Amino acid sequence: MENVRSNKAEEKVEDLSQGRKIVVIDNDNNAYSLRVPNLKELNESKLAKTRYYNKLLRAKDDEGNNLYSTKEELRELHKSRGIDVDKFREEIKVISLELNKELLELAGIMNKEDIDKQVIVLKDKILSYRKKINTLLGQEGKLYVNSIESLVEEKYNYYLMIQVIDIKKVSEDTETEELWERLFKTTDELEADKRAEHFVREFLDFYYGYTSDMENESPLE
Amino acid sequence: MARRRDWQEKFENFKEFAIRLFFNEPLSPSQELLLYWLKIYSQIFEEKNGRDFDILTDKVIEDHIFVDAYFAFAADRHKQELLKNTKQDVVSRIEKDLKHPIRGGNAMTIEYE
Repeated sequence: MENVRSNKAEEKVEDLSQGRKIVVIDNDNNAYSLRVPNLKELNESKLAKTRYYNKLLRAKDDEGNNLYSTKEELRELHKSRGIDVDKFREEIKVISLELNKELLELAGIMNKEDIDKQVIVLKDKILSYRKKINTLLGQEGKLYVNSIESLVEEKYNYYLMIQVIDIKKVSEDTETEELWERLFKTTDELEADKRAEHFVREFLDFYYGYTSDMENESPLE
Repeated sequence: MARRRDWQEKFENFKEFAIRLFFNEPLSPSQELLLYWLKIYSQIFEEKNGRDFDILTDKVIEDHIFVDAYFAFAADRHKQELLKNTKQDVVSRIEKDLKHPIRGGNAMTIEYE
């Protein structure tokens, strides 16, 4: 397990320092890569994001009502329908205090010898509190998943992705440098692609560092 | 990753000689995150060498949950120190007020947590 972890970390360090990550995902030996967007690509994506935001803000249905809601509008709507939208934050606050207590207790014993069992129990409690916090954040996020802000953020990531997902060009000339070319021209192409989910997962991990598998692992398991 | 010796050395070179850590510009959020943690661990190693707190040992640095526990401990100590200083500050201001030739005896009410 430790070896797998350190290998993963090694790869991640390499990916991060190079700003490019190789992702081989098909059986035909096609190599795909993700890279960090340059300033021009980043600015283009931001511009596309603003355009999309304005488009959603202006969108109306046949009766002239707003087609999409902002996060704040959804929050008020949920509240008016009796859904307690504040409970998540309140619960997180309470759990955070408990988490801090456990961390302080752990700090008091972590250097002592022969109390491994106690340390393991505390560590497990800490991880379970963190897991609870993540779950609550996820549940809260689900309330706003169709908000303009969330939709725009999702689209922004698609814009970034179509610019940075490359496929390796197969060249018979082995002397030449590696050649990569863009795989998708539009976000629609990406969204329609059967590998989209995989690309999204890899991109979020590579670009934003969204991986929590190690964090959520229990030492008791 | 950020506590690894090779990355800490790279980070020192980056700080002192501006040797690049990454080959792209601008940085991605995950690269910025790594940079942030490199800075944090660099600080932790400094604190360990400076022996700010005895509980910061090699064993602690090797384990990320122990490191979090250390952060909680250091933050708690810092908070207590701050509270102690605030209390002392308030007490000395009241004492000073009581000795004041004009305001003497009419100490101002000072709110603190």
